Amino acid sequence: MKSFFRQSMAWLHTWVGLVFGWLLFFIFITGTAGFFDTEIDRWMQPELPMAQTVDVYDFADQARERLEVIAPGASRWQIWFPIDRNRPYPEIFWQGADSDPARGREQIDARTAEPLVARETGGGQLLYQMHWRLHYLPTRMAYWIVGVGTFLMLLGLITGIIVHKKIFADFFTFRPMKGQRSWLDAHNVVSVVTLPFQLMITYSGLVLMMFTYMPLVAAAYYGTSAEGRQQFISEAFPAREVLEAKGVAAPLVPFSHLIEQAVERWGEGELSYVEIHHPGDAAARIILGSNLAEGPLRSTEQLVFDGVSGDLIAEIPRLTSGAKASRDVLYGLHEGLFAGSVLRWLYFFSGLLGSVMVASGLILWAVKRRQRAEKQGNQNPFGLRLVERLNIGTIVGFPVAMAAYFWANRLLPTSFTARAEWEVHLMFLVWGVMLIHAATRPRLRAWIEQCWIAAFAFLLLPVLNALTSSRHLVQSLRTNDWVFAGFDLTMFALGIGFALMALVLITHNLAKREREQSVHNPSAASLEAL
Amino acid sequence: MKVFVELSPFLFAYAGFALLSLIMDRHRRQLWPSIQGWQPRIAYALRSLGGLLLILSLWRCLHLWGVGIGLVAWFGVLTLVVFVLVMQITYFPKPVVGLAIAAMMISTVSVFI
Repeated sequence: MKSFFRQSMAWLHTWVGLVFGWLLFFIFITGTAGFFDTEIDRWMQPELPMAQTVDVYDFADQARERLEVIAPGASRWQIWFPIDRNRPYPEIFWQGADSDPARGREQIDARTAEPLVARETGGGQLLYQMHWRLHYLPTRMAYWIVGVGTFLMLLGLITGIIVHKKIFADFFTFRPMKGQRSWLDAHNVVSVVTLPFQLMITYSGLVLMMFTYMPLVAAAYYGTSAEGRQQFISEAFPAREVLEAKGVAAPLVPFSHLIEQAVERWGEGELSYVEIHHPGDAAARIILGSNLAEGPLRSTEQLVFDGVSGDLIAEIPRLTSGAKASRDVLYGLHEGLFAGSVLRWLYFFSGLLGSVMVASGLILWAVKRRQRAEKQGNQNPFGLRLVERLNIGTIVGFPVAMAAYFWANRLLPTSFTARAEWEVHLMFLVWGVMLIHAATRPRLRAWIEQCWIAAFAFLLLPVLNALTSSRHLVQSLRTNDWVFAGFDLTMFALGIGFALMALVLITHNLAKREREQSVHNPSAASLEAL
Repeated sequence: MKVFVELSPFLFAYAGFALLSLIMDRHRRQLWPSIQGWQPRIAYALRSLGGLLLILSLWRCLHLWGVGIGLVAWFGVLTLVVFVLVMQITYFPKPVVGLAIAAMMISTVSVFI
């Protein structure tokens, strides 16, 4: 009975992992890149200055002057202060303005108070958003595909724990160069060492989207009507309550007194944003929010002021209810906005190992069946061939496509108006080419060639950066520009990693070929047996 | 000096996991081939010390980063350290014992900085 249970779990683990493996690999890689989203943004806009800090009082006034000019009559303004790596430059945002565009966002140069001008790009944000929007697909469809994938990922983790009989006995065990045995060891080790991360990231990913996946839970209490939904949202997220404008003009109170109260309450550098509802109207509201990324609880404390009199109307604490706090903690853990540089690298590393976990599982599936097929006399079933080729074109091919995205960012002319879209098109085109390459070349050749392509695509990125911007590696190391230096060095490290993979594949297969030759030569074979 | 303080969670965890791996027959043979097997009492003592070092690593994380972030960081630290240790046991097992002792000493000293 017990072994029957374990066998069925193993079956489930194998097939769920196989069918959703490539999607999960895509989600893991793009999501992992997302831990460095703003850093990638900045590398992809090398014209921009280094991160800035501002005086909150001065910038609030500058931003207000600019918003009065470019977005009069807006229903909402936001002024964001650059307090950490999540927002490197001060920003303004408006919505529902009389002017054109009715909705927009500008990054402001703190030195000149003018908007920052840089090339069009999807940046790191696009890579990051890809891990749940899947780019080309309609939003809802993507949500559901990712949702099903995440759910099955969780299932894969739990069945994996059940199937893995010796979690503690094999905790430190990796036996290289032993074919299937080694792939199983590798799959086990990376899964076990990252298990807390995997469970957290998968479960929290589901919870983030729970209103999409399980709308009926809220509907059971609030009904399915639009008003019911609105009531639920305003109760769960009080600050998003929609206020009607009165249509009577009234001057907006100066910000300085309000900011003083916020700074006194939270300290320097903790005021994250000022949001103004219906500026210039008698019903105006001003909300000041504290840093969202203080810790894993992803929530701000808010001070709500009357926009005309400047009176404090309400204080919304970070913690409003246990249920919301549990969601906010999981949300916070998933995004890791609070992570400083050490923890951010640990997040990144865990994400990378997560991708390795998925990749090693996929390879294990193929290696096992390839051995079986060879034992049964040189069969070459279509399913096995398909999996092997998809593995190559995804596990190495997709990273190559990501490198192509960075190459496109620097090679497409800045005057080309559709360049942001074409960066992404090129990324997927290159992925397609890599898949075709994987399908048409002999299997081992395809692995080795793609590893070399990936190695050069990543190794040459710092060179490309040096040729296409003034911020080359030596320069950024000298000026302590750790965003650029970190990006270049990481690309370099990835390139080295792929080159090593190619070399290991070559030497390993040379050794294998020698062994096979020695089988035909009895004396050598008996020597090896010793 | 500040570097050692920031490294102390990693060093404690490294020393702890190195000890825990040393208790296992398979890895004892890789790391310390001259010893044939632990007496149960010594194995128990080593295991307890290993566990204690992991808890010290948690304590340093909480101390450095506060409870909320420290707890999250501790899991990340454990992940990284075990991965490095597995690679080391596989490819360069000899220095593990020496490094574990050094890690234990440096991290203990760093507590008092």
